[in-house]
Amino acid sequence: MSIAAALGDVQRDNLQGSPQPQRRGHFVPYLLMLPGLLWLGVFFVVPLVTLFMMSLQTAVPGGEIGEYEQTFHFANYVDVLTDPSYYTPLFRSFIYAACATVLALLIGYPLAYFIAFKSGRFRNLFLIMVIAPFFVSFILRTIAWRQILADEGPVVAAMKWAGFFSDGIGGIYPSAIAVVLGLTYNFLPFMTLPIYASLERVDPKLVEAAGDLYAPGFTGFRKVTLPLSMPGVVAGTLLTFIPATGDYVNAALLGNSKNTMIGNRIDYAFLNTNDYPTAAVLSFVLMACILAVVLVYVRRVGTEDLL
Amino acid sequence: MARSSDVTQVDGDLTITHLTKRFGDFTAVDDLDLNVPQGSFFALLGPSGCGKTTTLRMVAGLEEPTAGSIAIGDADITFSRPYQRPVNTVFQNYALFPHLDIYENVAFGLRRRKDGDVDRKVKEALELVELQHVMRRKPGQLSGGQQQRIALARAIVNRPAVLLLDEPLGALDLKLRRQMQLELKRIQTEVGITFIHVTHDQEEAMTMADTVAVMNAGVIEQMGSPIDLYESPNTAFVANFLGQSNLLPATVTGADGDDVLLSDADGAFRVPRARVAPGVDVGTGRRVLVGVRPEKIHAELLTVAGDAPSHGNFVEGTVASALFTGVSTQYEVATRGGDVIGVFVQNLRPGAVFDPGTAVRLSWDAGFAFILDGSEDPNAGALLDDEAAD
Repeated sequence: MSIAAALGDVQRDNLQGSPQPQRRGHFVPYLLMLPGLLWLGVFFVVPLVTLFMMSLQTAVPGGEIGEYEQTFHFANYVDVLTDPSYYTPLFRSFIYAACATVLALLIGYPLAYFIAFKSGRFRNLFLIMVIAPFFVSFILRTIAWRQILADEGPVVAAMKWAGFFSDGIGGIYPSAIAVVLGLTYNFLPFMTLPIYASLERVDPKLVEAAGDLYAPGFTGFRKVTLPLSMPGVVAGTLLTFIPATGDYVNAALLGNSKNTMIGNRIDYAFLNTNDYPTAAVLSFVLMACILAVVLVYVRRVGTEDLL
Repeated sequence: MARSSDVTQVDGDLTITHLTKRFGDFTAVDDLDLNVPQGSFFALLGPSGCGKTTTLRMVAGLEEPTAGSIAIGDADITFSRPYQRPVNTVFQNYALFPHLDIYENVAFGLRRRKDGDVDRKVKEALELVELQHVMRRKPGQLSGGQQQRIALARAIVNRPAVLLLDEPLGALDLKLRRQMQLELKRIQTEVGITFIHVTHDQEEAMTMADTVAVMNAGVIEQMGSPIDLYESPNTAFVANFLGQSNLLPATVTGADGDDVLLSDADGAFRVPRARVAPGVDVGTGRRVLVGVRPEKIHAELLTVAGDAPSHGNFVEGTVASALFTGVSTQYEVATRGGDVIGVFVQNLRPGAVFDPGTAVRLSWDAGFAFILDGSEDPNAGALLDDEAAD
C-alpha cells in the first residue's frame, strides 16, 4: 500500500466519522503536531535561514580569518559554481551516489525478496542480520573496508589469483571503486528494509493468480510483484541516494585526493579554512541539486501514489 | 516465455481418478474419484478442512497430487504447470491486481497469451458481468460484489475448459450473496463453461449447482443433484450437513410388503424399502437410524390420546422450545421416549404458534422418512455446519 493510498484511507475514515469528532475540538490534531513543528522550526528552519544568510556574507576587510559580515553578496554562488575545484566534486558526488544506489538496489532487492518470501521461520534472524552492522560505529565499519580492500587484503588477493591484476600493478584502495563500495555497504540496510516492507505486503495469492493467468515465474514477478514493490524501491533509492550524495566519510577514508566528494569540500571549508560563506553556498547548491534530481526521478518512475 | 502460450486446448469432462494428497501424516484428499460432465455447474461442498480446497488446488495446478490423475477430455493434466492447463481460478478474496485498473486486470491473461483480440474480449467479459462502466477504476475503488464479478470476468475471458471457484461468495453479505448466486448461475448458463465451485455453504451449493458432491475427511460422502442429496441422504453426515435432520435410533421389527417396520421408545414406524440408504442391512433386530426432515413433520395439538393417524408414523411429546422466524416457527419437541425432535411449521395462519409446554402429536408420511446405518453418529455433520456458518 502506498503512502497516498494510506492517506486515502484516513480521509475516508474521517469522512465517515465526521459528524462526531467535529464537536470534540478539532484543534487536538494540531496540538499533537506542535512538538514536531517546534522541533523542525528550531532545529531545521532557523539554521537553514542562518545558513542562507551566511552564504551571502563576505570577509570583513582587514579582519581576521573567519570574520565575515552580511553584504548579501549573491556573487558567492557564481564564484563557487564556476570553480572546477567545487563543481567537479559536486558532479563526482552524484556519480558515486548513483553507482552506490544502483549497486545497493541490485544487492538489496534480491536480499529483501529472499527474506520476504523464502526465509520461512528464519525471517526475523535475517532481518536482524541486515541491521546488525548498525551496532558497530559507522567510522569503524568504514575503516574495516580499508583492510578488506587493501593491497594485502583478501579481495585484491582473490582478484590477482583470478587474473584481474598483474603483480605489482593496481589495487582497489584507495580509489573511486573503494568509495562506491563503502557507500554501497553503508547504505545497504536503508535500501533493503523499505523494499522488504513493501514486498512483505504483497499477497502471495496475487502471485498464484498471475501463474493461473499464464504469467508464471519471472513474468509474474515483472508484472505483479515488482510493480507492487515500487513504493519500497523508490523509498529505498531515496534513502540511499540522498545521504550518499552528501556523505564525506567514505571518500575521506577509502578515497584519495582524486575522489573527493562535495561533502569533503564542505567539511574542509567549514572546519579547516573557516570559509563559512563558501561552505554555506556549497551546502545550498548540494541541496538544490539533490531536490532537482529527486523530483525528476520520482516523476519518471511514475509513482503517482508517492507525490 | 514461448511455453506460457502452450495452453492445452481441450474440452470434455473433467475426470479425477484415485486422487490422493498427503501433507506429512495428514491425508487431505483420500483416493478421490470424480467425473464432472462438460458444461455442468458442479459444487464441492464440505466443512473446512475436508479436502475440498486441496482438491481444487490440485485441479488448478497449485498443488501436486501424491497419487492419482486429473484429466480433461483425453488430456492428462496431472503434472502440467498451472499456465499450461485450460483451467482458470476465481480466487477466494478475488486476488485482483491492485496496481492495475479493471480493464488491465481482465486483460492480464489475454495479454500474456498474446491474444490478438484483447479489447473486444475484455469488453465482452465486462459486459457479461455488467461492469463496463468501471473499466478504468482500480480494484480498491470497487465494492466487494463488484470485485467478485471482476474476478469472474478475469477468469472467464480466457475461455477455460474448466473454471474453478474457491468460496467465491464467502466475503459477501447475505443479501449480496443471494443476488450473486443467481448471477453466477446466469453467467454459467450463458458461457457454458464447466464450473467447479468449492464452498462450505450448503444453501449456496444447492441453489447453483447441477451436481453437488458432499466431501468429508478427504472423501466424497455422496454425490448427486441437490434434490437427491437433500431428500435421500445416504449418511448421517450428509443428512445433517445439508439442512437439518432428525435422526432417531430404532430397531427393525420386521417387514410388511414394501415397507420396513421399526420401533423405538416412542412407538412403531414404517418406512418404504426404497428409502433405505444403499448397503444398510434392515434384517429383523438390526439397529438403524430413522431420519425425517423437520419440515416434513406435521404437528397438531394432542387433544384426544386415542385419535392417532392411521398410517402409524407418529410420536407424542411436549413443546420444549419455540422459535418464531417469520415464515415458519421452529420447535423442539421432547418425546415421551426421550428423543428431541425438531419441527418446522409454516406460519399459514397468524397466531397459531404452540407455546412451550403444549402437548403435541408429530406425524409424517412414511415415504418422507429415510433409513441410515445404525452404527453412524446421529450428530455427524451437525456441529460442523454451525461452525462453518460463522
